[in-house]
Amino acid sequence: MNTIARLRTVCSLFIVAVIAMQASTFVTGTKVWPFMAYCMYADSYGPTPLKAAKHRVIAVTRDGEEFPLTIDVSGLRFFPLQHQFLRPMRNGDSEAGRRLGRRMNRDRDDPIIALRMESDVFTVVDGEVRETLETTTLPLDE
Amino acid sequence: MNSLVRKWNAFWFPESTGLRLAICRITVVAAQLFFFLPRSTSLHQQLAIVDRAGGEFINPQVLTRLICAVLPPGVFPTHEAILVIYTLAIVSGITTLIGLATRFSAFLFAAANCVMVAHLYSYGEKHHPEAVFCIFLMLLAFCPSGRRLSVDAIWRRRKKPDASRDQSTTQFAVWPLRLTQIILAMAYLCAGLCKLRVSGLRWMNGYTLQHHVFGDAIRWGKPLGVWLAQQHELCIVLSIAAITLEVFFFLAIVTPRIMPLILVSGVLLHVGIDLTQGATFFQLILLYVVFIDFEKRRALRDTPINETTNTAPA
Repeated sequence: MNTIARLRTVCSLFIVAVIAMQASTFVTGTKVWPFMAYCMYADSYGPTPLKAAKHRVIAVTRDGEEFPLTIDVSGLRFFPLQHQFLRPMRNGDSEAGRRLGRRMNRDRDDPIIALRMESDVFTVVDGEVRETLETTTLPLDE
Repeated sequence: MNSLVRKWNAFWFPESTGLRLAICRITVVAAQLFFFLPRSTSLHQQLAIVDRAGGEFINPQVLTRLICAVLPPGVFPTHEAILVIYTLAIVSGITTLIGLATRFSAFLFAAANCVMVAHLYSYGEKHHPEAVFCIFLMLLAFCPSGRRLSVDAIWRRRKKPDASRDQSTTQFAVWPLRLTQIILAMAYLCAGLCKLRVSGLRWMNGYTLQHHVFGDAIRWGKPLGVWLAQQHELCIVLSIAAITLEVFFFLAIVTPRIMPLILVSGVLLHVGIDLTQGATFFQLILLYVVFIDFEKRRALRDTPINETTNTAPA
């Protein structure tokens, strides 16, 4: 086998390995980034009213100071903040609140004790978008 | 068996000057360096996360776990480590772009980008746009990506001035492009099949797309999305179009004649998603460059007209 043929064999094995890694995500889902399953937006809905919300999160400290919860305060981007902490906390998971508090208060003199979630809820009714404000306070359970 | 091997080699290892690979290298690396790197893997966000997390990951990626296992405790992730990796990405990105020690630079650039993205996605989130892009960046390190349009090529020509660069060919400059095409097609196929597996044909009932679009449009402030979410019939048509494109994207590889139609549809799909849902997949659009055969186009352009057209006998 000459050098070119040997190189072709090595490349072929590499190609097969990469394709196999990507193909495995069809069965196992995402296990090893960057080989990902692309299953976003797969859920379906029926003819129910359209409803969506836009959230603002305000941090409340022990001394009563209030400020928007930015990435500099929480160390979290939108999706992990929403999915890993705020949603479980809204469903009564106090452990999520404790973990978030620990993360945010690591070197704060005036610790954050609660988050106020202000949600602009938009609903489509009779072809018209209606907006209401909902406020939820989530204690951090130190 | 021999004919199968011949077909395999003809598909993956055809002769090429490397021009096509070089154009893809420059396009993709320039976009990553000047557009995607400062945005999607924002240095400010990475540093803010490191500050607050104190080394506590949520769902660490395999690559992140590997780095933490190899390096001494307390080295990664820190401000200093993130800054070093970011600087490495910038420097190696520039050298990959100009083609200086191209393969080594491409390896460093891909590795630095992979580490940045893997780190960002070790705190409870994972997104898709960078994945195939990073695979392509890494492939550049394992092929003659600096053979053309590079400082390496200029140096080689200076060493051997008699070598004609346009006529010398290699069999190893097409497989990374083919592999990226296939990974892209598999990604689309996975997206389409997953929707059909989870929801069946119900996914195309129009209501589904209305809900997805409305939720994202409100969250990211997209007025066009709010409007689209209220157009039931249009959402049915777009749902069918999206699933069809995702499932049959692979035809762009096996039927080159309809490839332009599929790529244009893909661009429209991603631009539409960006305008209505705020989900940007520009990396995937950019990767469509791997489908364009620049060498064939140049060959056609350079061929005298009487060689490409049938002239009717007088």
